[in-house]
Amino acid sequence: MIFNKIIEILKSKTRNKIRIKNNFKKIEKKRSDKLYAIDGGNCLIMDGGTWYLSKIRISCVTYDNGKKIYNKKETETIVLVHNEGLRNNKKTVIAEELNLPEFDFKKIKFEEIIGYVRKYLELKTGLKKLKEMKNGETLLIDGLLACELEENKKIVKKMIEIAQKNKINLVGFAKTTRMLKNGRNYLSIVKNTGDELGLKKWVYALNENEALVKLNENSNRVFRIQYFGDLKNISEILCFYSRDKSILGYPYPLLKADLTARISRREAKSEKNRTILFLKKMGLKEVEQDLLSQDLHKKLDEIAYK
Amino acid sequence: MNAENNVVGQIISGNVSKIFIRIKNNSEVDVGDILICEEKNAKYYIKIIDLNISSQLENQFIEEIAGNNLEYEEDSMLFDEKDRFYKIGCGKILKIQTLGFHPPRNLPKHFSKVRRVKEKDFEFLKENKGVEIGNLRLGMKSLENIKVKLPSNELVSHHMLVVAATGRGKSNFAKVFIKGLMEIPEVSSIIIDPHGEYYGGRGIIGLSHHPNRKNLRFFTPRFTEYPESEELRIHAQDLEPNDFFGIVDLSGAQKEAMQLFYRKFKEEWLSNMLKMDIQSLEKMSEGRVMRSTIFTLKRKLNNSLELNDGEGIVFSLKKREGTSIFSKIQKAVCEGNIIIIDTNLVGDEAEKIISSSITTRIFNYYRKEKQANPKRFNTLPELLIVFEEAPRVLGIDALAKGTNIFERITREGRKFKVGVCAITQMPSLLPKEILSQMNTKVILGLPAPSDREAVINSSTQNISDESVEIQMLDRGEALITSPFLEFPLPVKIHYFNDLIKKSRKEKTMIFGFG
Repeated sequence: MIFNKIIEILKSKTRNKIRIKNNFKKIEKKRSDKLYAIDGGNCLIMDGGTWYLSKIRISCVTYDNGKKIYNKKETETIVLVHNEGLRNNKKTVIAEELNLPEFDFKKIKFEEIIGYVRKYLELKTGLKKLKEMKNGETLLIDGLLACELEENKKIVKKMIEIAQKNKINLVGFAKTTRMLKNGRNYLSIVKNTGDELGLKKWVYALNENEALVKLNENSNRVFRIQYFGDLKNISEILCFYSRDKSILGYPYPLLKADLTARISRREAKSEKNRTILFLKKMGLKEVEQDLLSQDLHKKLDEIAYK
Repeated sequence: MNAENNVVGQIISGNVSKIFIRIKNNSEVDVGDILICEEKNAKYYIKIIDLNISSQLENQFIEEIAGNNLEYEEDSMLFDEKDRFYKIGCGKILKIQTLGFHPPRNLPKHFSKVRRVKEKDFEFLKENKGVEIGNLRLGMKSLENIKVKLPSNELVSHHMLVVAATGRGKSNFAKVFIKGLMEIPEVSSIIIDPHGEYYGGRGIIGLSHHPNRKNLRFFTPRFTEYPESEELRIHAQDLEPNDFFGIVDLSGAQKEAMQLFYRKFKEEWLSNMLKMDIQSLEKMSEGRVMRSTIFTLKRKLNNSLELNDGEGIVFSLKKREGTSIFSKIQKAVCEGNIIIIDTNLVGDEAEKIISSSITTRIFNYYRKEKQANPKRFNTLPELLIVFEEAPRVLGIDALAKGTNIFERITREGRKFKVGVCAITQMPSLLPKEILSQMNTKVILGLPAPSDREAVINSSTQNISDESVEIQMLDRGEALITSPFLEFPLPVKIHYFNDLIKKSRKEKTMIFGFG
């Protein structure tokens, strides 16, 4: 019964063919110019209810002419997120040796704060790299450039200024996109239309600084990018770097940056044990019991995955 | 090549039995290679026993990549290929060198660099005095400047086993080793040569082509064809019943009959037994030997000695004039000579009687000298008896006929400075006790698993991880295990013909300039 209903809904959604503007540009060349890719990873170490400890790692990789010339963990830090009081809703973030601004987290969910801090650190790393970069080079950041948080917006603004001044391509690359048109996935509509037109690699401009891209003829993946710079150049460079056989159609340097930044479950566990030991040493034995009483999900997950 | 270029990998994990090395891309490390991991106070000698291809990607992605390779030829490549796809070497620590060599009771650290060997790493081999048999071999490569010597003085009386499938270079090794012994006066050797390949001539390069052949003696039935040879002739009067026991298939009654006639006729026992008629012999035995026994015994002995009207290729019923062959060989041994006994023209049993009778006389002489004249015994050279097709005299089937002199030497020879060098392609036919007495083993490629197992299980050094390497050994490539070597050494054996050519050239040059 339920499936009949699903089929009925889906049929109604796909019944009408959605027409889109022909904004397609075929990507005909590949450029192997220097490309910087930045990504971050984070994990939860401890959740104390009104506070949690997380680890964030930001990495940057650089490729030139297809060869890796730089691969480094740029930032690695433990972050404490603290809800000072439920009445005043004041949430603070403390990270050792990082000069973090006073964020305004009022509208942001407590558990999502760490994601915003990570984005902030990614953008800060991007800004630092942009200052080192030269004309014609490309900076690729995981995720779109549009930000909710005021502090992040400020950094993006600075980044755009430097990129435009020095003629550097600045690209935000979204791994996941939820764009709908008439209740349907817009990326899929654009992809199907591209296929109908017989296009194999293309760029589809959404607006002045936004586009959808399909970067490899043997891949079905379409991504959304936000960019500042020459779209033709950008698409040709992305196209060159999206030919890795393990992940056709996705820029390999971003994968490499992700792998470098990623914090494994094992590493998170080790950080947790280290922290518990430290807290015990400092006379805070109750913390371990607090943590044990809160959440059994992780333990169940571990058992299930063995 | 600087030190960094020499680095081929880094230690990533392992234990004292097996250690894993991430191999640097394009380093061309092979199974059998010896690598060095040098730390502050220790140098680890690591042998590669296996190689794996590995990747940071999960199998399903690797399969996907292979699929992409097969289905889409264009518009794809592998970024960071060297980082993501590589080889992992599985090694075993042979020894740790600190001030001396020690068994592996410790491990190198994570990420310790592993490099190729240098000449300096094998300087300890230069300290070995003895016979140069080849170059150190690393995988398929032979290191021309690292020579491997076998310490002949220690090794000879501790017995050797040379094993290989057909065509892998057993005889070549034996010739190379004996050539080396020719240059050492403290060692003597008797080579039983059933295939006529050691002395040389008629298009075959042999030991006679060695420029320094003055201590080479050749006993052959074809003495007229070889100007420097001596006749191999054994007279019946020099043989004893024991020379047949354990060689010829004899019943208890037949053995007793031989002993009886030996007591009766003394040195004429054999010629009388073969010349006299059955009735006379029966009469002589005073009824203690049955007619049928005498009949069978006469037939067996006649066949074994390959006699025709009292004369054979080697054996003769005629009365000897002059010195016996045994005395001649004994004298030659005492003088530190290398003696080749040509048994090419005789059959299997006759050959065994020849080798057994000669070996028995020499071994008994050494034994007697040790007891009666220890001073004289100490001056005697070490003696190595070399024989091919070892299972014929040391095999399980052969020993079922009773013990023989070769088996006795493997057990007792060491005390009397007498050793055997048994050559075979089927070591699995030899009993475990015999195999484990062969302290030095020269292994030259054994495809049969049972033969490999027999050799591996009886080796004084642990070579249980080298089974694959032993199987893959190519012609002239050997693995040598010996208590007199620091660890099992992979060797590329010299090619005998090249050695002879080189020796002759060197001698010509010395004379030329001299």
